[in-house]
Amino acid sequence: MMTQATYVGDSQHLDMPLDATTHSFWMPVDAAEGAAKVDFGFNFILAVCTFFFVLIVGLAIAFVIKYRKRPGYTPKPSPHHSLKLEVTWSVIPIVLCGFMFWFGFSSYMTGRTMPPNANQVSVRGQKWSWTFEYPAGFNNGELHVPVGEPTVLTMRSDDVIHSFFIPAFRTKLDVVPGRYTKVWFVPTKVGEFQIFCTEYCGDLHSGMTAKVVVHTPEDYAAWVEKNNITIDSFNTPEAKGEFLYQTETCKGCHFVNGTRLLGPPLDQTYGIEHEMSDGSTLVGDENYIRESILNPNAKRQKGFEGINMTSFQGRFTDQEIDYIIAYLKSFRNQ
Amino acid sequence: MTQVDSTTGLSHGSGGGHVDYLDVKKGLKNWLVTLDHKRIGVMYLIAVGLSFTLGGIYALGLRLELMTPGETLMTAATYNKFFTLHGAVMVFLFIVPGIPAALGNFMLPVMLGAPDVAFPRLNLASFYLWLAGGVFFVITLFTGGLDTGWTFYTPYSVSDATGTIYATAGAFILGFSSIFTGLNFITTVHKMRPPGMGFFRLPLFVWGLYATAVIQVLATPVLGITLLLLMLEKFGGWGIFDPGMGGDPVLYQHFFWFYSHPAVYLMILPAMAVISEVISTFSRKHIFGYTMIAYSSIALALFGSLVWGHHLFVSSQSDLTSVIFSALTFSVAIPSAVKVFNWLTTLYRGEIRLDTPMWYALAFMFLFLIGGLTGLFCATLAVDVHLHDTYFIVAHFHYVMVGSVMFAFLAGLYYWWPKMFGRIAPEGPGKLSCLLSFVGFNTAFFPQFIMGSLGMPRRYYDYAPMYAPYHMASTIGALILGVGILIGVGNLLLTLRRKKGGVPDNPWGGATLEWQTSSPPPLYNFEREFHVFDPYDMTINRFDEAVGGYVLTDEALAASKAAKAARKSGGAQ
Repeated sequence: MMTQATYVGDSQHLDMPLDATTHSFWMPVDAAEGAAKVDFGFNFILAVCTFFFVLIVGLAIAFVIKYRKRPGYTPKPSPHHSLKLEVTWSVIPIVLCGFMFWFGFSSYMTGRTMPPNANQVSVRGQKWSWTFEYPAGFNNGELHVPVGEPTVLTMRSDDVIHSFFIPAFRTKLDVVPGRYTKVWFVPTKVGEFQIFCTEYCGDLHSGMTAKVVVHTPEDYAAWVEKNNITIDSFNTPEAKGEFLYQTETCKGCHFVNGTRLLGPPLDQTYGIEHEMSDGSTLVGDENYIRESILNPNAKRQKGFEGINMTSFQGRFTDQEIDYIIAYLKSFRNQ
Repeated sequence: MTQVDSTTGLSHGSGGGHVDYLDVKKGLKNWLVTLDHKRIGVMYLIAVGLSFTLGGIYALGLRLELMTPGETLMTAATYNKFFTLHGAVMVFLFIVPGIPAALGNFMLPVMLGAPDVAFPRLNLASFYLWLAGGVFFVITLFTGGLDTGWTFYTPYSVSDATGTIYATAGAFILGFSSIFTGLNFITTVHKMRPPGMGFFRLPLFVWGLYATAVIQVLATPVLGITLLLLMLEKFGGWGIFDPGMGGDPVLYQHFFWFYSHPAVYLMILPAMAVISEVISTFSRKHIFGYTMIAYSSIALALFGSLVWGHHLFVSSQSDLTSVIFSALTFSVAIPSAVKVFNWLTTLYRGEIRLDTPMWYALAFMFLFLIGGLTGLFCATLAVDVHLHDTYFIVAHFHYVMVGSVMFAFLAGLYYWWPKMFGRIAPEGPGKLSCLLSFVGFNTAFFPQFIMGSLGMPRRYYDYAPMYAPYHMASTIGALILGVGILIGVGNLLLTLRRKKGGVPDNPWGGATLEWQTSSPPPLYNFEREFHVFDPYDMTINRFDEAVGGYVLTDEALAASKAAKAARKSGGAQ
């Protein structure tokens, strides 16, 4: 039916390696401004920790060997407190901690101060996918940004708390229902990088991934041009319905190829008799589809007990629900 | 003060043959209604042991599932329930009550030379509250299909099921048990010290329990308040946490960590306290910097209550709040560092005995160092933003909560087992268990630091292939750790099949009061006169070949008698 089905990203990217060729022993590839600073902080703390770890474990092992109880060994007396020593080993950690705090504080504040004139992208988190809304008015399942320019993400959640994490950019922030949260970054490398959800959000939490694609400014403009597709780009209700299916996170849980994902397959919904979890049966019709979108857990098909879908109340207009119904009906007309 | 139970039919200090607390009145019924703090401690030990087994089975299930990417053993939904159950059971039923309720209950009065805790009936009530809370909690977890993680974050946790409310109610009942135990311990320490034992002659284990009790009494009620708010929201329709009703989900996180961060110190303080005892005793040397260790326990209890906001660095709390909490968080590093340096210096010029408890204590030092030092990464704001909610955090808190607390628990068990049960566990299997657990633990959790800083998020059922080698190592380590613990606990339990007795009063040379009574102690702990000394003055003991253990020297006895006489004449004024 639709020819331009490539315009939305797939939410499952677990097969995508995190640029395994360039990550270091501890840290993933460094692909944004400020990431090197975070790595410097990490390495500094690592060096301090390694020093004290080796010192203390080394001394402990030496003491255990040297002062172990054995025939012919008599311990020499030693004091059991020393103000000088105790002050020293309190003050040195205080100084080191003070430095760590200052470093963490100053780089954190840089990362929290939004630059003016940045690219703006809105991010919507929903169980269990990410949707990116571009200023040109279209949505996409992938985050595309130009290299070398700041991008500000304004994030919101439609259901529970999620967390938006790009390891390669060393950035992370929770996406909270009922409020907007913002992060920004300046990518420094062209390429594809992993996005994770890092706040536990239910069954497919580990599948709530996406990718960020960093382009040269020219490629970015071309990508926007090519993907500037909105619901108005389609003429028939069926095509508009498929567009909504592709872009409004439905496909995160529902296949249209007859097999079950987390939810029932949508091509097997309209005009088919369903066995329900309460033992009754019903034939999928317009009212069933509408109710399942607005009040998803009112009627459940058998075998889907305990899996709760987020309501789309307030997300879809009546018109849009009609498009989705038209799309679901289209599978019976083929 | 202590209610002497007249129904036991045994008066304190009765002459004749020695009857220990295990033999006083046998039979299950007598155990279940006992007011003896030692028996209550043993019952706690059995109960937390069973909880640990349950939590451990879930842990192994999780690790087996994560051994390879994709579905290995169970579905995503089952995995989510598994990690919830693992965390909830381990935290609320094992680590929090573990050392204070089991070892603390047994040892606190004996270390004070007291016949029992201040309120023995309240003590038994605490145990049954714990049992009721624990059973309620486990049933809820099983039937409610709770899959929220042990943190129950809103709005995920309140979006559909009522499981969260019941689970919090379970934690609430457990909380009361904790509060009552805390009150009991505080009162006991204040009111039941023997003459000559001021606060700065208390054993450090008692200091640790005291600091723990203060947190129990002050922080636990917040958990109760949170539950009441959840109920008001669920049944009263008040929008408190649910954004759909105008509430704020992040508020819940503040409430939760306001209790649960101090709870971390509630877990680690008694563990540190055990280590202070073991290291000093087995070094045959006075603990270094006694006063600093005692104060650092109080400092940790105090600072630990002011740092909960570091769990919310990426939660959308204000930047200023995050900065303040980052600064406060560094304050807990200092008393922790002080303790480690003091233990290290205690070893210096000691006469170190390497028995099983000391093996566990040295392993503790190693693991706590890693756990504590990696906390610095998490306290540093910009670095934590990257590490937050990754396996780096999982590794960090397992080094503290398992590596440290569990190893200290085993150190304490091996240390006090002869006193508690009148049997000494064989050294060979004990040391083997320590070695296996140590190797297994590090193999299981060190790779998690690396995969965490490489970006692997926690609570993930599935993962990218690049993390696979770390997960594989982690699972292999977990299995070795499981075998190590099994040998360690089995070695202790097998001693119970042997006939009790023949164990000297003081097999290790400890200078605290519990080593002056028989092993195991009689019903009211002391049938003989005991002598109060500096709890870490190792010169009061000498090894006696005939006894096979340590006995007080004549000089120490004479000094104690002189001090008693002086107090008597002083007290008559």
